Amino acid sequence: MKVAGKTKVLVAGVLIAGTLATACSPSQTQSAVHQSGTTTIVFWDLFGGADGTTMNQIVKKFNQTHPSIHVQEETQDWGQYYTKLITAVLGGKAPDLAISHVDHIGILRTQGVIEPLDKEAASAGIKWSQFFEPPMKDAVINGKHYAIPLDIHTYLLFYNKKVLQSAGISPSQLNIASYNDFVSICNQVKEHGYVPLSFGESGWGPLAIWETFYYQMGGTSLLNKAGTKETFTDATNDAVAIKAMQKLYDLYNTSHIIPSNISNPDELFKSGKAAFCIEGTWSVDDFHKALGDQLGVAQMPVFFQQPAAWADSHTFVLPVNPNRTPEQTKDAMIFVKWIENHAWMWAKAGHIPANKIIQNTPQFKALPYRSNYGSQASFVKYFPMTDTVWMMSDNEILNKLQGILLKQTPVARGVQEMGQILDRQLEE
Amino acid sequence: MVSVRKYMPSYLLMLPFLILYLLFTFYPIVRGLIISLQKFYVLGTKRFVGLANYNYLLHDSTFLSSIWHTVIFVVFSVPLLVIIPFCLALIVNAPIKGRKIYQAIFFLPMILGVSVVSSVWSAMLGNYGGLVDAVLNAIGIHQEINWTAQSTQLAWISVLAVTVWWTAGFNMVLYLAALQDIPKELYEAASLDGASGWAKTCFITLPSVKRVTILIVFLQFIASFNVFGQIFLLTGGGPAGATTTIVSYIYEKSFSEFLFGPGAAASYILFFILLIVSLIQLRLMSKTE
Repeated sequence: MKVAGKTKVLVAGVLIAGTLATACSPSQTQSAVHQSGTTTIVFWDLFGGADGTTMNQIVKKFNQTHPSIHVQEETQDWGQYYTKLITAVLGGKAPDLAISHVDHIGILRTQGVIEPLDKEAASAGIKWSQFFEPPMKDAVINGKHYAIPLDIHTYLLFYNKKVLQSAGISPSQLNIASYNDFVSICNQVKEHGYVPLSFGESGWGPLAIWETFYYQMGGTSLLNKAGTKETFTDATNDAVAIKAMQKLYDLYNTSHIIPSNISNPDELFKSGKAAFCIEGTWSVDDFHKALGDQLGVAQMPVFFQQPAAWADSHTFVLPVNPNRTPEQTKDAMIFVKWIENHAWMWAKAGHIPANKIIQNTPQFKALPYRSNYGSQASFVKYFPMTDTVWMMSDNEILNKLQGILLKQTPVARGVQEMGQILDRQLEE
Repeated sequence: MVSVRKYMPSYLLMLPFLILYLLFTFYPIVRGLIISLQKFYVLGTKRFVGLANYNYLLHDSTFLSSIWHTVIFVVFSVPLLVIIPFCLALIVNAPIKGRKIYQAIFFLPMILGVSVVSSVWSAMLGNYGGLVDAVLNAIGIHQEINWTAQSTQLAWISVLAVTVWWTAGFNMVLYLAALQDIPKELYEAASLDGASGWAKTCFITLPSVKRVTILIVFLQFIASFNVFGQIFLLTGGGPAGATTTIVSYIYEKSFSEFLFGPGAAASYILFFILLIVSLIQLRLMSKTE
């Protein structure tokens, strides 16, 4: 084949330009502060938004008050966090300390990414009894502690007082005692031209709502005790799982409380066009900034028989890192202990501190809205922790769920298929 | 041995490239083949399982549908990315005012990275504030359409539109070069014979760009089969997995689920698909020579 001369030159030119452009992009420079007598702790987290700025401030404060320790915080993208963490451990560039979701530590342990920290925690003076029960359940595997819980972050019901008022609903008398209550309030809002509930249709959000409904209806644990088989399609739970899914489906497709496919639910709520938004504790300050005193924050309502709400916990873990000296391990634990003692600072990000004692501190009580939902920590429900599967980022499950909401799969069959997918994945 | 000695300087000159090539291209290819035959835990045990990973893929409906999605993308994107760049090249090759500016405008998106292109477009294609919907609202179409996630069709249209906008410039440059290589005399002679502009395009321009068209089709086939970045960032493979392509599948398996065995096997299946496509194309090209 003969390509005309000019073409060759042009192609070559374009290719070279491309290569140069990549080659010239600035390489990441690490701000290695090495003063004599200072240990540097590389600390990885996945905090963006309000979480991110809050953790920046905490780390800064710690570094100021502890001249002999320098914590170098490195924030990775939420979506790619675990991919990066495992490749870093694999490549011998593991951080000294890292954040993990508590229901993800089973997978990290299987993959050989983290190590137990009983001894380290004990010598730093961490008292396990100070923490709320739910995150502690997942932090222990085969009698060994793998994680120190930092917070409980959970879904809350946010509302816009102004929108409710203009729809003729008094925000101070807002009383959502059942699913039907909620739907009728939302219908009233809709008649006044507002979006009733701002919530997405893709990702893990709908799965968390389904899980919440499922537990509120009295469904028992999604997996068996050994974590090897799903149990939500068992004879005892089957009807509940399907009914919970139907109620979720109805929000999108029958009562149209959630408009189809909002591309950015947070922005929509912040723009003041929506009455309600179900979002995580991490959005409290962000929403407050946008809506000011119009913002209302409530616990997850009891839509069905009993209280339950999706939640997760950020925890500290020790990645497998042969280069970490005992001194660094000790200092990393000093950092962890210091944050746990000052966890009201972390509550500024909206989360409920995992350390129970914090809720009684004046600093915590002074934060706006926090007292509205602090007690939700007692009825939160986590996704099941397994050795291989994390439902929150399980695309096959999430795609199947989205397929149900987009009417591609009937509700009952979709739930069955979600069960089959999960069983197959747990076998792998 | 004589030839080796004779060409020694050439081999020596090739050496730096060869070392890098062996290390960063050839070795990963071989390693990938090995991994595709293993049950492979990154930090754990690795053992040979024969063709089990390939067998797994052939029974995985997600993988089979990802092949189908890729074929859809190829079938729509290749013709678009041949015809549109050709038309653009005709425009910027015509003796019109400001052709250099058009040339730059059409080529410019090409120099942007996939992440930039995707984030700009996802902001524009979203609803409740996205630019595209805002324009539609302004001209009286009052619907909040979330282009990248609302339905399978819209998601594909979004991905295709963004891909064409982003990459048409490259093929346009190839066509432009070919157009400028056509001797002016041909057009002059045709004008003297009284040929219309349309006739000149059909009987001079089109036959002259035949070779470069085959090249473009060939390159575009490979590029379209390998589509990943804009899909990953625009639709995330959704809605409900409807835009998951082979490379997205490979990424998901390998780097989200850390199942490197099936991931590597899927890469090899993609490799064989591309190999067959390339062989057919080579055959076609040698015929036109």
